[in-house]
Amino acid sequence: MVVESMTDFQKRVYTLSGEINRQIQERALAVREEGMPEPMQLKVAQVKPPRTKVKLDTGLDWPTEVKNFRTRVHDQDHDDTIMGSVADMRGPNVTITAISKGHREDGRDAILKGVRKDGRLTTDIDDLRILFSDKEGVGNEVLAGRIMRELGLSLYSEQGVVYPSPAERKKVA
Amino acid sequence: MMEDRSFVLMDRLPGWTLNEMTYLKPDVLEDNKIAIAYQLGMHAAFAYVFGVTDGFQTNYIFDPVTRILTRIDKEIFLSVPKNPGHALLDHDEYTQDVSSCELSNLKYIPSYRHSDSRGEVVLSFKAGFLDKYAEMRKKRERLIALVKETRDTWKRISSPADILAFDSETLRIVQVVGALMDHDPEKVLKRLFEAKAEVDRGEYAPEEDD
Repeated sequence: MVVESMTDFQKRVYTLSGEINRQIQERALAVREEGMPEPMQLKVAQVKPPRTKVKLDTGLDWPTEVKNFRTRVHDQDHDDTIMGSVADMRGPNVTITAISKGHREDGRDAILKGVRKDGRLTTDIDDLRILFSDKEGVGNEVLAGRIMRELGLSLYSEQGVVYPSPAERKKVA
Repeated sequence: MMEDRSFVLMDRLPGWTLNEMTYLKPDVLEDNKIAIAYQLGMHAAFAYVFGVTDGFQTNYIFDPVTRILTRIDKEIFLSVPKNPGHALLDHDEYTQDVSSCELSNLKYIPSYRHSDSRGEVVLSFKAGFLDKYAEMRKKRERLIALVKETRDTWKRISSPADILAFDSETLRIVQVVGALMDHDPEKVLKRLFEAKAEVDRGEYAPEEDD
């Protein structure tokens, strides 16, 4: 076993930190100029879900998992919102096939399994996750993101965060 | 009625959360322990200064291709302490909150958990923490201005009933962020590790009187 001296190790950390900072800066630049580069492109659905639309459009046969999921999010008074998101994500590209519990007790990282409609194999199943939330409606995701960008900290595209209105988004863009 | 747009979905997550990797990809965690620890340190510095107190393991996504660690779920933001001067004292609630999240994430790195190379991991965390703290201090005025803009945006969006109280709170937050930024980074890091040890021993911060 090769034992690395602390000096060598510190050099390695220094080199690595420079490399990571460079990668972050490059990526931040790419996000700023072009949006996320492939294959990191994130598909983001805005939430605009009246309950009736969900009932009409999802086509889900409400398996147990879905019912449980609805119950859980209902407790947070966000069932329409999330199920609406599911409906939106189905669209022409994705069919939601299962919803399973994520790691968080509040269910906000629920894992939505979906398959694409273009005939790709089941190995192409996508994980859809609820990653951004802003229950207070104060836009923390974007506002924190601005400072994170200033500091070169990695964050997913700000396009993934939605303000109460597009006009408000423009104000802080 | 205003549309509820409080949730957004993204698909094809480019990586895994730290705890997912513990079960699914422990080798990835171990292979990238230096990169992960360095970036955890960067995010911990950001969390301490800007009051981001929920840096749990599920809120960090690591992409093994780019080796970038991304912080998600920044709902809690500018949740800064009432008295930043207390943050470096024993049994401070704010420092315990930040440390119990941010430092707990290190345990997901196998060799840190088993003490094989805990020193390497801690050194990388420290390097990231100090690097980011130095950058924040360098950009102090710009960042303070962004905090003010953030609060102004909140005011526009939320239309608080008591504008004067809101503005007073803005002033307080700006002062606190500035004060936290001015702390000695080495002392902050030391205190964070001490605060984590306090929490591990069950020595929680006393309840504050309102």
